[in-house]
Amino acid sequence: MKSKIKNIIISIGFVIFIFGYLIIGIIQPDSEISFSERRKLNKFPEISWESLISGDFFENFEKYAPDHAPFREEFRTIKALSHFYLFNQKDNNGIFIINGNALKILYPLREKSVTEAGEKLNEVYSAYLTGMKVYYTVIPDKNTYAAEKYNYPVIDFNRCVELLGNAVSDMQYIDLLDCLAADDFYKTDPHWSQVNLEKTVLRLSEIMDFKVPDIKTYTVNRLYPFYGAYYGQSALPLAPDELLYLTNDTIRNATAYDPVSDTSFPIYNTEKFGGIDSYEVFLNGGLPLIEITNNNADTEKELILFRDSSGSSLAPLLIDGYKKITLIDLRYISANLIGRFVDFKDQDVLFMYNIAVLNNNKMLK
Amino acid sequence: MVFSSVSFLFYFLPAILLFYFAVPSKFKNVVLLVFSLLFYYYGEQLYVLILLFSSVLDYTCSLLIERYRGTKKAKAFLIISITANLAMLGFFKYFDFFISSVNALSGISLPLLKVALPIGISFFTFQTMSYTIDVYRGEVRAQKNFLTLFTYVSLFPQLIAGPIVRYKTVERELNGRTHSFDMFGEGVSRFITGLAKKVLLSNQLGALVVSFRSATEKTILFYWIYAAAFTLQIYFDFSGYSDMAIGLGKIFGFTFLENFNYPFISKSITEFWRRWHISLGSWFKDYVYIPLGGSRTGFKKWLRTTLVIWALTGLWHGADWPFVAWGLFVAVFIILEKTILLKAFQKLPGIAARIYFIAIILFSMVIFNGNGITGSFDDIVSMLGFTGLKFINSDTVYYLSSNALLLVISVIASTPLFANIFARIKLKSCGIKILDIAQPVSCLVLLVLSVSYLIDGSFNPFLYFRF
Repeated sequence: MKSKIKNIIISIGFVIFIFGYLIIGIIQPDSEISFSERRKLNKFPEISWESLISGDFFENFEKYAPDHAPFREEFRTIKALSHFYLFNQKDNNGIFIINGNALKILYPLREKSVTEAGEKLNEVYSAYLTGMKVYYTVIPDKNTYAAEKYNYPVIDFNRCVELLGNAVSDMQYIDLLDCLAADDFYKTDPHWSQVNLEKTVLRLSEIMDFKVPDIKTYTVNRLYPFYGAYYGQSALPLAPDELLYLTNDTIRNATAYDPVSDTSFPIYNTEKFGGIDSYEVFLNGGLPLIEITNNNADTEKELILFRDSSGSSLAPLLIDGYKKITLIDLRYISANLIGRFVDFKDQDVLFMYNIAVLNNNKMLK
Repeated sequence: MVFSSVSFLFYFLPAILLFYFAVPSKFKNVVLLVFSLLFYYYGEQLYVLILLFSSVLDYTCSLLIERYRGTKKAKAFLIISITANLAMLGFFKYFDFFISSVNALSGISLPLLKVALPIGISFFTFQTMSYTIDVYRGEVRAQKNFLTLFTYVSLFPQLIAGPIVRYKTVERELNGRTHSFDMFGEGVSRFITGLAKKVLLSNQLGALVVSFRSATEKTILFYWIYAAAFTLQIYFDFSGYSDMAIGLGKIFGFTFLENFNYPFISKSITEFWRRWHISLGSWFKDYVYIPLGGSRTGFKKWLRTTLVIWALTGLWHGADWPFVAWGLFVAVFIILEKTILLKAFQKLPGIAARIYFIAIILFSMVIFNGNGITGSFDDIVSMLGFTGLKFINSDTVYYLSSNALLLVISVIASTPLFANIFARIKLKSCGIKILDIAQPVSCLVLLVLSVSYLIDGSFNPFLYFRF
């Protein structure tokens, strides 16, 4: 082969590549959602004189183009593989894989963020909870248990708890660190598996003084395949998890109600499985307010649970101990508004947030 | 729009190639002009009028210079052109810097204009000034076709981040150029090389720099890793962009001069600056240094000229005092080398000059990227171990182990090792055949890898846009 032919091959190959990509991109219909990344994709921007003159069209097109590139998932996988195996990088977009288990680097500790989160909890206490029995806990990330063993950077969990403890007042801390282990979380998702919460529930029941049945008495239900959040972020062909959820008569007879939209739904909504976030099976996912009523209750105790998504899978296991559980997600409702929907009296109160949420307090309204 | 983007690769580039190669030769400049203006409009909208103003100004002045050649009027039109170009650059880039400095010195608080900096203004104003000066010097003829000159000023491959292409370099090609598969293929290869440098190396090194900046527990070793990573990042960022510009130039029939020549194999700062951003260095040399007397004047005048040139070079890179400090830092070592160091290094083993060069270049890049003058000072003091930091910790081990191969690849890729190996292979009978097969394959692999990184939306800012 002579150099001239080489240049012809390179020229024609390049032209075919970029024109082929353009044509496929134009022909293929745009997707609305990236299931693997769990996000809505940018839509083709509106063309108008205003958007062309202001530059908004071009700015939005710059976001649209990579979102709708043909073979997008395949290219993301090529990137992930080359990142790990060609450049020998230890993480891709912060995700690293240990024995098929995907973990995300949560680092560094943003001390100011944790302190401000504590101050936010104090604001809620002052506004609604004065004189009530209030507890707080920090849910470790699975990285907390695995990162150090494999020499990955990790937030100092104890330092986080210390900072939060210094910021809050009139609340009792419940330590869950020794109740969990790395294997208690899903392999492709940051959340814990409900079936592994025995020690956690026991610790909460001992300190908060409520009664729950032995976790072994629950029926284990299975949904497969469960592709967690880290599955899409890693862009690697990981083996999916099996989503497990526990039921008993109390849970089956309990009702969940959203006072904001005035709708009721089951404790486990299996229709959500296979959607953009299969973890929304638990209590319909991210809602600002949920009231769970235990129709079999032999107690008058009530619980107010300030929580993030981890609380959705924990709450069903607490139903036996309470007549009513009110779940409040400060990521979706401002603390100033919750008084309109919740009647604070003598309930138990538990603030339960994942360390990742505390490290990014902007999530809390 | 940046070259390393999906919008450029798969929308803009196919569109311009289609129109450019579909029209007859006499319309090719028009296609280039229209798409170049669209390219600039995509990012800057109304600032495209600055390009028009600059072109009209220099087109008119150069014609008048030629018309009144040998008279005082010619000099007057040259001064008008230079003053207007510098005024434009001064207004958009340096006005707020000037006001801030006055405010800081006098304690008053004059309001800032806060005008957005037009992308690439430092590059295209230097290009247009060189054109008018070269016309005045009689080195090139004034372009009589306005569209041709406007095409030169707005030529998209080098419009926003260089290299600074002088009119005389492309004069003949602007008026008529040939196209061939050889030029196109070489251009594509060069473009893909630059794209890979930017996306696969520079962006990843940039991510390491960001990790360093956000780390809460830094160590002495981490500071040195950061210094090396940033130095390599800015090299692959800028030389990658220059490669892409040169490659695109070839695709459209232009031959731009090289802008980098393996600067990290230098043994002195003086040599480094002959190999780094060559188009800027030669611009300052031809249009400022030599007119001010160059090296043929007395020592004091040379000293003054050198300090002025490097203060200006610093200011060219950014309208802020840390950039001036960086320029003067470089000037100090160039002066020391000229007077003492280069002679001293001749008596020492070669490794001494290398160690000196690497240390100074790392320090200079740390100053360049520092958070103000005090931030830069803190960084250097930390590198030298005077701030009580540990030498190493587990976080440093992580970032080093995760990026070790990237750093090694980057160091090797910044040397002429591969070029030398290819040159040797070509000497053998079967070598050319091997390279003829290997080059298209490597182009495809690098293109696919680069596109995969772009689509994954990784870290992708061009550092030289801010200039």
